Amino acid sequence: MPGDDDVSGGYVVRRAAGSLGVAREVVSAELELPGEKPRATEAPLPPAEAARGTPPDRAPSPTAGARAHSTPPDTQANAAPPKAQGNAALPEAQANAAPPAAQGNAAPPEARAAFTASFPGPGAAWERPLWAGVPYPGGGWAALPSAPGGGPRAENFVAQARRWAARTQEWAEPAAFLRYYPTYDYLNAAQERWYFCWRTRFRNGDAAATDTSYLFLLAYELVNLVGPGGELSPAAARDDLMRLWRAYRQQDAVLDAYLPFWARDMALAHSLGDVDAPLGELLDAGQVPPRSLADLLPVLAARPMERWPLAALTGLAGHKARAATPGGVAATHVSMASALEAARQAAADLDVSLRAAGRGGLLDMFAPQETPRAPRAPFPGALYCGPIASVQDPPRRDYLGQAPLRAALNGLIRRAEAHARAVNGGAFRRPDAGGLDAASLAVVDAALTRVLGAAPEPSSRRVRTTAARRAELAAPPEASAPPVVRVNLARARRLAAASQVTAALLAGALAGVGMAGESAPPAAPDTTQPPAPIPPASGAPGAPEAAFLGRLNPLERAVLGVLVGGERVTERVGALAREAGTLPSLPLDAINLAADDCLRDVVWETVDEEPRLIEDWRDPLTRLLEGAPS
Amino acid sequence: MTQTEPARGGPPRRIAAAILNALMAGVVPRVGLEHIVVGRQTEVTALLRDLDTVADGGASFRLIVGRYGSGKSFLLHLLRAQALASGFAVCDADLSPERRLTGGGGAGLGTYRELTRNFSTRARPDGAALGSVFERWLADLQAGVAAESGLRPTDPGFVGAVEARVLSVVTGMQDLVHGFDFAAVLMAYWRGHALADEGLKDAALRWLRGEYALKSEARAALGVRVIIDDDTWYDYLKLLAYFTHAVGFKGLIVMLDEAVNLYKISHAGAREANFEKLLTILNDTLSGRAAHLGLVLGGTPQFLDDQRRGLASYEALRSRLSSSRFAREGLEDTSGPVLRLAPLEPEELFVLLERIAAVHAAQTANPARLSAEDLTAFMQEEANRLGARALQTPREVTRDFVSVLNLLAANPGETLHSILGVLPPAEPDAEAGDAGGFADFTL
Repeated sequence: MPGDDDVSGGYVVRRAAGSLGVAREVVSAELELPGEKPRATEAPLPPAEAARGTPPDRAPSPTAGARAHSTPPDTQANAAPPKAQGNAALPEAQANAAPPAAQGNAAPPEARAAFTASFPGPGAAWERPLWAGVPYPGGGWAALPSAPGGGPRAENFVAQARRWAARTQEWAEPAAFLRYYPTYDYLNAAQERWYFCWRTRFRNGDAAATDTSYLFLLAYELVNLVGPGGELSPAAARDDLMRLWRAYRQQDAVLDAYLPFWARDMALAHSLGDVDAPLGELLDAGQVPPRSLADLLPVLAARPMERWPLAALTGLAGHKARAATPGGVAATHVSMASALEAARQAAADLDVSLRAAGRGGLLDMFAPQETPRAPRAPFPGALYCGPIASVQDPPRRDYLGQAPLRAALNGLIRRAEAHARAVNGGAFRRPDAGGLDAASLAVVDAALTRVLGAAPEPSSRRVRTTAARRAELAAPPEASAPPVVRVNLARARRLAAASQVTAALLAGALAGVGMAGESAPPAAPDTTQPPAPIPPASGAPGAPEAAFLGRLNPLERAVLGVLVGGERVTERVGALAREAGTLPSLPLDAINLAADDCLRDVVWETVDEEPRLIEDWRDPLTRLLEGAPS
Repeated sequence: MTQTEPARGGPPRRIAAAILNALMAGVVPRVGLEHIVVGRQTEVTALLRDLDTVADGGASFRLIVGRYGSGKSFLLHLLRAQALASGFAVCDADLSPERRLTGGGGAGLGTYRELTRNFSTRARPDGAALGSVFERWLADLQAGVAAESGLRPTDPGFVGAVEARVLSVVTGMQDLVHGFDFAAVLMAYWRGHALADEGLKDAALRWLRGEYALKSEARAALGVRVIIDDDTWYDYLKLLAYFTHAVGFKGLIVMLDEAVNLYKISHAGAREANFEKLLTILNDTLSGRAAHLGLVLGGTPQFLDDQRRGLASYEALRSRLSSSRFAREGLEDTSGPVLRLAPLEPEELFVLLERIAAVHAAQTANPARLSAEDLTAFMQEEANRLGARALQTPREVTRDFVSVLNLLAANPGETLHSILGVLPPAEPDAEAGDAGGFADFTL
């Protein structure tokens, strides 16, 4: 169970004292009121649409209610069984053994009173949407429970799940059930019987056909380590999650987006080892669920590219297939599918050739930075209420943020599409190289020819009518090898000398040189030597500091002392300025101007609207002031 | 081998660290630009000439165009540093989806607010200098009155004499568009100062920073009936330029970077409204209606040249910004409003790497000693990268180079070639001699 300060579900403090306590308790109270029918707006985002990796503190979006309202009427009818009705359908013995959740979770009278007080008006309060009118907590929406996440809803679910962990049902009629974030509270009597019947059969190895919402209900139990014997080991829970996914993934693709990732989180949270095995299995099945590419890329990077799902390649390339192309729809579709296959093969060949040449693989050509990952809530999208507040993913390389890589892969795919069009006999135009050099393009073209067949040379009318294209064609072909860097050292030295003058001009170190550079270009110094650094303002060590102090009048020195002291600067500088009959900004500005002249740097800056000495200058200025005559 | 000497003198450690950290992060350092400036003399000269124009009472408009990472922001920062050092006030802002020239939700006003927030002077290069400029102005006026009239601040006629001076400054503004209200706010600031009413002074500054959302609030606080909004912010920028000159600065330089965000506006109407605003500004500055105001924008070639969504899609701007028919490579005309940044040549890149190595040497206790051959080998390695021809920019090269320098400093046993993973170059054949001053390296 989460501690009082657990944040994994979005609730920071459930029964905290202070100004926020009432608001949160009010929310808790409404969620747990006995016999209350859950309102449509309580339904959180559907699992299929809840973004994977959504921050746990995301507030319920206004669209959540609209989506729930759009649930088909028969679903609505199924979806809102009064809890009392569901419990009444239980056998009497079971009902006694497992008291209705409503009784155990009755809201305390004071919470109910607080709730009613916050919504004046007889009866109207209970008709409001869940979040409407609830006072904002200090942290805004981020402090409210997320959808679905933890919070009292998940606590209630887990308590019920544990109570009914061992319940079995010998036989029941199948009952339809479709609900976002299903919990026991939404089951009517027939659905409840069927669920426990189906679960009994599944536990015994019989994967009977059933609705997807039942699958998620069981998945939530597994995520919370609830099994036949009460507590389930994490390893067994992970295995059951994967078994559930394997058994039903053909039935509903939405399972791909959740179950393997929850199985991975289970391994990650409980240090089970072989963390990425579920994702590997997902990739073996050729699936790349939406918005999951970033999580899958570390696994993909360790695989040969020819084993990549096509969706991974096009996703990484940011490529969208073109709908309309010459050559007939059917023919085009066939060739475009083939083109993607060919692009994958070409990418794999290019990857291998780059590795053989010692230039790293295709993915690592642009040296992506390895970025550490922030801790995140486990089991995104699940109703989870457990001891794991956060999990830590290992650092990963940011392939998706690599614009050059995206351009290269996109160019490669477009080249494959153009090749396919050419083989199809349609007009085509040779696409840009996408940043690939000639040697790489040769590897790509060879792979495309091998897979799709030879393509004729581009000869479309568009190419001949564009002057720029003509010029491009007339240009000499790119050399196959990378260009050899040639540096004219003598010119570099002249350039360095000229840049030195520019730098000195900018630094204000040259006397008599106008702002606009109207003076004659300075004579080039010895061009055989490397450039000397910009000379300091004065030759003798310590002379700039002494000159700086010499520029300051007594008031400015006193203000500098206050800055060096660093305590109550605004107040003390103001007092000094008032005493001297001036404004505080004047001595402050004068100090920085003198510093800029003598030290080529300012010595204080504005931090939080208060002047603050730059730390690098504290020691030198302290010594300077201590040694200065008063 | 020609050994580059370790830095002698070099920048202070703080400046060196700031430079290297910024280069590692792929951004332009705020300080110490003079230590890494290389080439770009044509562009720098043109921009410095603009400063002269502004100081002489004119106005200028420049559009610096270059690819991502080609040095636009560097040039802007360079100009900023030079303008501050030369006695200009500078305000700068990055355009973004929330900050445009005009747009719904106060996008234009957002740009103005950012500009005034970043109002900088030489004494306060980090911004927030607007208040100090007002204080300095009033202090100068008081000092002038005291010197000329012999009055002391406690004398009865002193406040009246200073107010007469204030009036003489603000009267000049009243002929300008919105000048009357601007002058009224300046007078309010003066009254706040004279009466030691900090609330009134703050209200005047808030108004000048465009922070009043309602006219009624402004009227209650200051007695003025207008506020700065999306339609009028540029007029107030001109007034601010006039004022900065009146109080002793050479003029006001306004810098807007990331202008590509205007190109990215997806709604054609909104995009054109921004282009129209830009046209207004361009006409104003280049036709001499603005004084002591310099405006510099940084954008990508897409922003300028794209026929569908760039400035080239707006005929009035396209014709004004097009370069001379007779200009060609090697024959550039920098008198037009557009400065196109050419890619750095190998020699320029070479010198840039030398300078960065010198900065690094000033910052670390164990500097790497790199020869000219080492630097060329590094450049060759960068050129070998896939897509380097199309995609390589100084930003990427410098970032890689700083990381190599850091690695060398942290691992004294390693060499540049071992870090790059390439073989060291073969010793040159003594009989071959110097082939025309070129150094060729085959890796």
